[in-house]
Amino acid sequence: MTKANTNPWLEHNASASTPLEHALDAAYAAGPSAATIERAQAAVRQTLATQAGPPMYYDLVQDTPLGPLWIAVGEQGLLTIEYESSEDSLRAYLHKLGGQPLRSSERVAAAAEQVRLYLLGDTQAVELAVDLSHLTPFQQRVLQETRRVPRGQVRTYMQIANSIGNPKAVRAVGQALRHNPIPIVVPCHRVVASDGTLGGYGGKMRDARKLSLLKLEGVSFA
Amino acid sequence: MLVTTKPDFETLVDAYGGELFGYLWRLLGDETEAEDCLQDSYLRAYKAYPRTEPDNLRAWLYKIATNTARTRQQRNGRQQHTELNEEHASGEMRVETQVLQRLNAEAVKAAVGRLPRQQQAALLLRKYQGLAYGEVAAALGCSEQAARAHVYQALKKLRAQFSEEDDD
Repeated sequence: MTKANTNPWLEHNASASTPLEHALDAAYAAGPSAATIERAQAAVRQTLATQAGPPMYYDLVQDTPLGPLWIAVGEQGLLTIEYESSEDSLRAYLHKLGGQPLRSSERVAAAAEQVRLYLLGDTQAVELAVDLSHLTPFQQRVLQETRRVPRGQVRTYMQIANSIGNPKAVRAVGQALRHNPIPIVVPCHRVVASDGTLGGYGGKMRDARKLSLLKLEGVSFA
Repeated sequence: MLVTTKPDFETLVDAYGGELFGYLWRLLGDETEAEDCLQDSYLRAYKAYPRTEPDNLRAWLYKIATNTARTRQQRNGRQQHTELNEEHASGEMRVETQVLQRLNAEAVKAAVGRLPRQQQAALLLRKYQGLAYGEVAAALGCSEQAARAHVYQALKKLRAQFSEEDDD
């Protein structure tokens, strides 16, 4: 069995010495022509393009007051902003949305600039289109309502539940905000608990971030 | 924090599409079949890619290509079988030409095509695709030792077949 290992012809590109090896090389060594290979690869690219789903561009935005942020945008608007996430998990998320993740600082630049300006204290509201279409209708209503809360103000979970006409859904509102895929731009940090505490926050934004965003917007805490 | 990043799937077409096509072309012996099979393989790979963490992307793609080729060969199996039988039936008349043709490229291709699938694939992967035995093993879903044995057996069978004709 060790013979197979010691045959130098079995090394890639080693030359044949026996008639059998010569015949095998004559049959297989050359392979298909470059033009045929190119055609086959082009056909694969074409097939994949129809399968891949809409492009979803993303990039890592460095040097924000909250540390590096992953931002992803699709054709309809902003898809997600993630803290402390890895590129792989972001890509997995975009795949789950049915898109084709493509890293592109160019495509993300406009949204990234707005978010960065906002985080540096620029008082203009972040007016960016958001794509919430992959969320449930309830989640969409909660997040749309949250977008209406002006800078410098806060609402309670109860108030949001009331304003979407579903006053019993306070906990569900909390859940929807906890899973807000676009923190900062959908300002879930402006929604707090009725007792004045920040509320049971976790998910994509931790309490410290929520607090620093509210302070940035001039909300004071007694 | 160490973050390993998988390359964009599209880059795998540029990086490995050419050699995989060469492999399928050798394995299936037909350009159109190889082209179709390459597309099937990349589609399968594309769907599996998000939930795959392969140590060796090249070997992983070869594995998918090998399995896709097998599925196609099985699907076409009945047809090939009929062709083989016809060849067999006229075999006696062909003995003379076979001796004359022995050890040319066509005769060797036919002989390789008759090898057990694992041996056929192992030989091509090792010798003409330049895979290390570890990669051959990963592509064929067997141990490295088995991969070596497949190559060895393939050559042994071919040698025996053609030296038998020498004895005629």
